[in-house]
Amino acid sequence: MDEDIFRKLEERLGALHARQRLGIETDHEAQIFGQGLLSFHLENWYPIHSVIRNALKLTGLYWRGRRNTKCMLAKRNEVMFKELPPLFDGFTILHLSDMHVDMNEAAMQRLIELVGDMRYDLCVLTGDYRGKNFGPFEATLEGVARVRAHLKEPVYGVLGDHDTIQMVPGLEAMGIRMLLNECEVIVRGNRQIYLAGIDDAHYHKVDNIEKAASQIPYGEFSILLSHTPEIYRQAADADFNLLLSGHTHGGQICLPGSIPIVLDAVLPRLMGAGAWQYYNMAGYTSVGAGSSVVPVRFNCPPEITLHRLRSG
Amino acid sequence: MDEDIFRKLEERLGALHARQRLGIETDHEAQIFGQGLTFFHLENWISGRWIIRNVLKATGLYWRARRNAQRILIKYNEVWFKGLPPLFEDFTILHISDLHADMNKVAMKNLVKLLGGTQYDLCVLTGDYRGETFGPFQAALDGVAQLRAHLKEPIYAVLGNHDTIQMVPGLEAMGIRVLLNECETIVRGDQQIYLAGIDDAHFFRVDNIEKAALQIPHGEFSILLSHTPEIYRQAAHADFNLLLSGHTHGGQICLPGSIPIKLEAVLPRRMGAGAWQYHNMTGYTSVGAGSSVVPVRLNCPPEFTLHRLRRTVT
Repeated sequence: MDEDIFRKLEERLGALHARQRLGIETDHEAQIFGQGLLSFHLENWYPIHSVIRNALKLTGLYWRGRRNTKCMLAKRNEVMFKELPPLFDGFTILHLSDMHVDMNEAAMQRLIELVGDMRYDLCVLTGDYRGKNFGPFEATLEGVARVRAHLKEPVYGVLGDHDTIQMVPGLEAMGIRMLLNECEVIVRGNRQIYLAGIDDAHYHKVDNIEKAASQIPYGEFSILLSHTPEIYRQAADADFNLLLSGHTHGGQICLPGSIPIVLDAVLPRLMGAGAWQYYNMAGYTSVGAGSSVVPVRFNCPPEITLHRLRSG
Repeated sequence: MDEDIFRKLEERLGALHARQRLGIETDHEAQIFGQGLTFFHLENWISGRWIIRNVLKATGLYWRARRNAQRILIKYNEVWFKGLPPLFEDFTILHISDLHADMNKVAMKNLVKLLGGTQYDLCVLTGDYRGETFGPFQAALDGVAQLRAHLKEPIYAVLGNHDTIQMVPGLEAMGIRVLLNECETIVRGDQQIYLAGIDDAHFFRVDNIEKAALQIPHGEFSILLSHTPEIYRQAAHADFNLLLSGHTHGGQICLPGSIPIKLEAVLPRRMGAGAWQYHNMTGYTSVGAGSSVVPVRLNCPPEFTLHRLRRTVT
């Protein structure tokens, strides 16, 4: 690994988080049976790619599934909060997730068209920039850079289970502030809200909500970015008001009625896609803009999301 | 909940960890499907018990399995380390796990008898003091207190997925130092090693290895206590030398040859019981002194363990 990237990461994350993340990534490279929240990782089992592809070809669904990945929806989600400072009423967040940019070039073109005229106050990316969960990441960074050129600042991001932490210096050089168990203040006039983000909690399990939330004063309005919504209990009990996440792809291949076959997440099904509520925390699970394993989608179109925060 | 316990916990853990732990405990009370490392929790499924009990009775294995759960073995585990400070050569750790004290009264009595002549420098308890994962905890504390009377100090402990954090003040009042994402120094002469412990990583997922390891200088010899060994990757890459854990019960009900039917853990099978190695870290998974769900064991006798640390001379 690039010595320079390593030094930068160590400074940024602290020696321990850097060692853990990189160590687990190294172990994982090309490993089929890994130990995350699930012991079997579908996306690493190569024959499954051709099994899915050929099953779809045989049933004549393959090309339709491929075309579906380009039919991207712009979803709108309005969320009401009692705790939101009135100055933030109408504050709009563009939420992009699971782009898997190097595997979804046509979908990314569509995404660029869609975001062009959008108006928003903040843009957040909730992980999975890379198609595969191992291997080179140059093509990924180039793909993200093409999208980034069409996004308005400020842009914040977190890493997903498909991303290597070695991408962080590259992403930040593009002006995407990565939140790695960290927190930032978003200011409007004389009021502020807090935006925290955690490192991947699904496979690498190097998330540290406690560290990310440590600077947030009790009772202040706060948003957590996490690639996976699987940490919903820990987030709700840490008093976050809103959790923005992705990871599930909403199932990606669904039965009619958007019923997912597998979610690749240890999660109540109602949290698998779209808006949900858990105690006082509002949650949103984006089904993602890209697709992975085999880039096909059924009954589960890709999305980008505009969240509008309302005070009241 | 007792306001006094809450205040003590908040002071001790910080407001956030206390809120998370207690909040998840409240949600969990009597819940079968939950969000830990596994989605389905057998131990909360009451009819699961009924099935296990009656299948064993029908096959005539039930009473033998009950007796098995009371026959505790003493296991000896010698571990070699290059980085061990010389004064810690032969340092011996008594490791007791998964007592489920209120559910295994006869096993606890046998444990106390066996502990009689045992010599050790340090005692560690790796969680699961309570039988159930919810409900009252006083009987569990009473059971631990009976055992505690026969243990030599110092005693360190971590909590398991069956334990409520409300037990911490009670455990500490008995002289058991509970490590909740914390670290202590163990001194011998002018040399020292570090002993860290994390809160439950299996169900509650309020473990914080980074916080626990914060005070350990890089390269110093360190031991991590974790109820579940499922965090082996995070522990090894945080440079711990030894991980002591339990949780799996080694399967508790095993096929001949100690092959577990179910481990209740997301873990390579070789880490399910006994000594193992992962990169530079040595691990040990105790099959536990008690039993849970139904207190029966087949092909997997309960244990307590004496770990002897040895220094490799190069």
